[in-house]
Amino acid sequence: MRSALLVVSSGCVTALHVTTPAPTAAEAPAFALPAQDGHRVALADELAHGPVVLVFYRGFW
Amino acid sequence: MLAISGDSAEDSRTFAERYQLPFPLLGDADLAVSRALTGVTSDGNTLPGIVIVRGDRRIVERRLATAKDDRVSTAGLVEALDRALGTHGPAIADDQFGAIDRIQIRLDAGGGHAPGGPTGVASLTALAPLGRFVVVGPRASFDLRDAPVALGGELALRLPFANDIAALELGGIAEYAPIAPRGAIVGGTAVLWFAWSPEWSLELTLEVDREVGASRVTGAFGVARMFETPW
Repeated sequence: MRSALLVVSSGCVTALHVTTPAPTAAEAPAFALPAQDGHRVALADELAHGPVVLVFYRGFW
Repeated sequence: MLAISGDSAEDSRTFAERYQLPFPLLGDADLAVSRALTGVTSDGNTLPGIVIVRGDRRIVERRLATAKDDRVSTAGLVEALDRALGTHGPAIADDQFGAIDRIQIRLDAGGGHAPGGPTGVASLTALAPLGRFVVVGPRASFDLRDAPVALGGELALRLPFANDIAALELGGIAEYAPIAPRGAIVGGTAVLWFAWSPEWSLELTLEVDREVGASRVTGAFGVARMFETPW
């Protein structure tokens, strides 16, 4: 948990302007994205184990 | 938990190794997932936020950055994790529990004022969800004074709240009493229900009917057994 918090607590958004309309989708798209070690992570596979928390963060600002 | 950003795999790898992160950092290079779930900022980056997704892919919580210097707070993240894991507050979805997605078989009993004086009433109702905001189903009701048995149905608009484990329903009822005094019964109901488990919920009902030329006003308390919809 502590390491997880580092990710989000290091975020600092300056001059934030949202350029896309606020998403209103009731369901998450069935995405699969590459992780840092190269393997693809599919949302569906994670959901098989229960609810999933997605943390969107900015790496650079 | 999955962390998502527009960073390259190489940057994320460095970051994850530096802080020994135990969860994957996913690269959303074209920001398609960010755009769908949080948003994109004017500098072409992911809008920070937390999104909680239930087992059936339904989004049950979305917290987005809204202002300058807004960020995902530690408290916000801990609360989101607590809710997702069901360790604090009303659990969102252990076993993909979603009360508003379920059929309810309700048994209610109460009393009120009928044309001839005080009366006792009971009803048995099966309600199935048609989407998020509508429920419909058959119903049988019993009135000690005026209509021993009446058969019909109910159609209601539903306003879910409290993470979809409770709702207010405003509905209409149409029934026919086949035993004397025969006649049609039409009315309106307001129901407030709360699910405390995936299988059971409690409800309070206020009902106003027009039956055989007179009005009836009743209140009732009930319990419902909930079932997965087969569709």
